[in-house]
Amino acid sequence: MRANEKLTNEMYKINLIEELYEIVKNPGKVSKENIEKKIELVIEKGINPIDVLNNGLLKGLREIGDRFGRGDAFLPELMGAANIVEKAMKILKPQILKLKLEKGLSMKRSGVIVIGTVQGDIHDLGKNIVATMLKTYGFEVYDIGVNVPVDTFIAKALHFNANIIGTSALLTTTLYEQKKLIETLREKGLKGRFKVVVGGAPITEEWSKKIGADGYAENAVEAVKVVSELIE
Amino acid sequence: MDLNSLKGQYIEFLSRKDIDDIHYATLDILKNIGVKVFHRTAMKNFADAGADVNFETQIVKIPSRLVEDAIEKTPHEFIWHARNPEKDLKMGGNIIHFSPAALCPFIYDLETGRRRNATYSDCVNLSRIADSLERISDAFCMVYPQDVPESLAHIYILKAIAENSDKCIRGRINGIQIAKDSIRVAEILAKGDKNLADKPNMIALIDAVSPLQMDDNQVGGMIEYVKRGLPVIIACEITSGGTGPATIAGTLVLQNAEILSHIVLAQAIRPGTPLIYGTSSSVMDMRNANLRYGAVELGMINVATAQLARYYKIPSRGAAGFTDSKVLDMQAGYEFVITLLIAALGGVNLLLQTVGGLDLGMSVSYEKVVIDHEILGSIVRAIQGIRVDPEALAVDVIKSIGPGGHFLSHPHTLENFKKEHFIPVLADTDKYSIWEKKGGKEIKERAKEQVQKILQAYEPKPLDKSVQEELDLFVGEVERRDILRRGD
Repeated sequence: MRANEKLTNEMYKINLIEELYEIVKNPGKVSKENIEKKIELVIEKGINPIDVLNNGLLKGLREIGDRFGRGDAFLPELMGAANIVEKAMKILKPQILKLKLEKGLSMKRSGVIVIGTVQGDIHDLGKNIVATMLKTYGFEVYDIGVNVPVDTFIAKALHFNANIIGTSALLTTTLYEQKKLIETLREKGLKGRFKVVVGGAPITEEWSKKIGADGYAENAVEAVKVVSELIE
Repeated sequence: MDLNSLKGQYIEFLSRKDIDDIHYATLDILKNIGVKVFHRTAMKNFADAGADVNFETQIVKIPSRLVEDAIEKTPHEFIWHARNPEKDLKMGGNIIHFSPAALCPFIYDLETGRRRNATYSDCVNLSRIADSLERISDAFCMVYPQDVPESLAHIYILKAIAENSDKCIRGRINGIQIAKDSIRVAEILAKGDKNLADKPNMIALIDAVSPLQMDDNQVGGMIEYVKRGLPVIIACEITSGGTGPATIAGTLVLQNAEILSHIVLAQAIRPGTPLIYGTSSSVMDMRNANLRYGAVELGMINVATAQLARYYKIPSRGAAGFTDSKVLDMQAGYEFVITLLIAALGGVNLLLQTVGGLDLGMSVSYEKVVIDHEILGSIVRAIQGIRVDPEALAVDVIKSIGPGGHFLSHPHTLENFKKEHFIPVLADTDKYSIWEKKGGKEIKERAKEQVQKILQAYEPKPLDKSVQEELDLFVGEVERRDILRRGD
């Protein structure tokens, strides 16, 4: 009888994680689902929050990210999924930290990214999408806004002790700001300290290589991959 | 897509006075000049109904009262029943349907790309493809098979459609035997119910022979359908400047006279028979005498035809989307769009020959079927129009985002983007570098892949076992009859 109860409880936990995975995977279908309630249930039942994160939330997000990469899912779905994960993480994160502390697990900071749109440009849609996705994947993201001068990028990166600077440009006339940032970092001897990732509609891989950037991504899902690789 | 959900009527070329003028000009022609009828029984039907018939000259003059009575008797709308009731088509009102290319003798081979004779296997493939495409209303055979005896083509065409699609079915009219065989198939599909008039599950199309003639063979076929209460599309294919006046208005008058004379005959034989008022008229190219399928005037004639049909409260049929181009080039694309978009925005109820046709309507391209179907998506989107209600106005959403934010993460976007935006699948919308990375393909190559995918994966719903058995028996019967006849 007891063994059965235990089994039922285990099944329940697995089902709940599976359910969260389904919710994140299909953000269009269940947009009205109350994610906060589900996460509170997770805590109430004492389910391992790291399990919930890796095998539920992030698994769902990875799946929709992969579909997005293949052209089978759309931006609002990807962003919808990211939003669900973000909401869930607000409740789950303290639990994860608590668990790590109890079990003596590593408390190392995840990658720190300073991100902004270059000077002369106030387009921020692409930058916002990338920032949201990076945050959702657990990176510490400091969005320093639009029309950001090179010196501000560097000052903020130093201030937050960042690993990566992400710069976005939409206008072909402001592309050169990305080049200027890398040149300035070299001049100041900081090129080795921060990795620079570039993005924006007119940006190509060729341009990224030409100016000596460390990474380039075509879309938000790729941006997560590029940043993860650079941080490892 | 719910096949009956597409409604609309956005453009008109004729004013109410123009329509009246065309109507009275038509009555003048029918009363004073009349039509030449080559079918003996039809002449008698006309005479019995009160027309002035000269059996020597075969000229039938139709008094205006008779024309107007016949219009009165014609149903304003009806349902064309499909094997699958979810795919029944409502005809009339302001509902718009898209039917594929019809009976083209040639096809561009999917593998070699070369133009060749169409075969029975193409009939099967194309019926399956038409069945799989959501915006296509019926799976009429896009090609005419040339690897079967000519005298059996009609029955194989019906077999291919019936077995590979549960959408609506069209029979053929060319001669009494073909009409009777087609109607027998309709009975088999109706599971033996011989009262087809209650739930018409097959319609046929008659082309008037311009100017002002009613052909013996086709009228004979039409009478078979009409006697059973099965709907008939009455269509004209006038080449403006050749078999009709060079003016569009004159073409409309002539066309109207031809259609209305058929309507008078049909209503004289069986009052209340559902009919469709139709056109595939266009202008003649004065350099080579070809009918130009890709002409903008064809689109305009479609719209005017729909206006006249609405005036008479009879469902309308148009034809648009064929192209005169021989290859999948820009001409093929623009002629498709210019004719079909105009016709569709004009609210034609049943648009035939919409997808797949190339080469003056002589050939079908597999790739073009799916490309055209994608373009239909844009046209459908335009017809759906712009929804304006509190949810669509999104005032709360705009307020909640405010200046400088973005709408991508808002649930309103997730909720609405697929409903409000038509998202093409074959069109390339990538940046150059991404397009290059994906193989730098042209739309024709992507279309070919989509066709291959459908042919590999799509399984149409099979016929009920008993229906299939009966159909097989009947096809066998027609084959034996044909062998005996040819043996004579």
